[in-house]
Amino acid sequence: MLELKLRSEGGWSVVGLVGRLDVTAAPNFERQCDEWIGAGHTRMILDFSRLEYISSAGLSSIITAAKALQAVGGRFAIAGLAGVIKEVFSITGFATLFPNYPDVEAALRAT
Amino acid sequence: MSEIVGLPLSLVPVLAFLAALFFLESYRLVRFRAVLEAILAGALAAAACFLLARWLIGRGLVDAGVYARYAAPAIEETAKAVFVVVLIRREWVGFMVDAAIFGFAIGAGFALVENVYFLTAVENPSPLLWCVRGFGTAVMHGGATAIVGIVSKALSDLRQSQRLWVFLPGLGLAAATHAVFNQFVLPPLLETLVVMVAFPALIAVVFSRSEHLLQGWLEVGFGSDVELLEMIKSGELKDTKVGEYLLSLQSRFPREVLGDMLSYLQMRVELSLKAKAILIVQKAGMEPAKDPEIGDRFKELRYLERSLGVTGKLALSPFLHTSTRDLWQLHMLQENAAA
Repeated sequence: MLELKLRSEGGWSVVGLVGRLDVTAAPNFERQCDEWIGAGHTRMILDFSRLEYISSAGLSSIITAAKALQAVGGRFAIAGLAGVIKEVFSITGFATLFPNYPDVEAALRAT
Repeated sequence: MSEIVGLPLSLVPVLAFLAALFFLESYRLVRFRAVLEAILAGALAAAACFLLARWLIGRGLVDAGVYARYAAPAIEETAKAVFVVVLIRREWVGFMVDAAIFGFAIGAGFALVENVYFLTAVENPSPLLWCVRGFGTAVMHGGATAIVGIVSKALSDLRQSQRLWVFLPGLGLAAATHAVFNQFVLPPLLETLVVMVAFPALIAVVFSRSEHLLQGWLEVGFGSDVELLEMIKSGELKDTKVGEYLLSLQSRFPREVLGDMLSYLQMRVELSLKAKAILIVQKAGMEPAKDPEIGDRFKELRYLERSLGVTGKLALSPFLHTSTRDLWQLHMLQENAAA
């Protein structure tokens, strides 16, 4: 089960992911991101601080969202990696694929 | 004049088909260099078969017509299958789709040599002959060896075995397909048409099935890798399944080997996650980031394997994934780092 919470902060759309980004949740996450991008949310920070689990389908969906933003000239960053999810991002090299910040505040300051 | 028409007609279709297979495969499981090596292996198989045929026919041991219809299919398919056997037994093939690409590349290499030989040997060949050889015989050679790869890989996965018997059904099917083609039961042009329709249909099924399998394997494997990583890095290992199990081995292994067992598990799970991440990134059409430390990681892995020995690795089997696909992903990771 994945809950997505969108809020605007400092000219950015911050998407909080709460729960599990797995094979069940990934298609819905992609669809929701597409809708938001279509609605003009083209500067997006994904906040992972309350994400409990991520699978390969979840990682694929993040790439898809990042590419969709790239296609419309938008910007994309991730924030709040912690625990085993931080380990997964670090080991798989995903932490270096996208701008990555310790938390949303740091991301907002840096961007 | 006939060479100007004959050369492209006899060589381009099979190469175009191979290029289509290579570029349509979305996870980029097969590297370009590996395809070239497979083509070379096929070319060498053709040279070996040519020498054998010349010797057998030259010595009067077999009639040329009988050889072409009955002996050549079995001999040629066996020669082409040798490299398929090597690839699968060395865990260099992960799925049916890369087995098909490798097989087709070997068959293409074989057909290239055979058609170049025909080009020099046949006097005044008609464009129709080159059509049949290019679109029919050459694609049949690729398709037959792809069948060896597909069936062998499927059986190898099913039985988790790479014994020689798993290659026999695919080889038999390929030889039978080749033999039927060589009988010319149908008019040559119709036979060519059948090859051009049947093979893409087979490949489409294999691509779809393989993609489905790969996605399932990625999802399940990634999940169990993350779960194991979480246990190892929890900071309270003794309360986890892994910790309890390692503690139960205390009386059987020296303390330093137990330490290496934990390091080995961690290294394997990290490499496994890295390999799966490469597939995810490549599927998205992106270039995976190069990891400058990957060579050192493999060096460490080999050191730990020596430290553990066969018994230590066996003791870890409840937590260690050792399916052919789990071992293939390590090879894929090394290849990727070397590229």
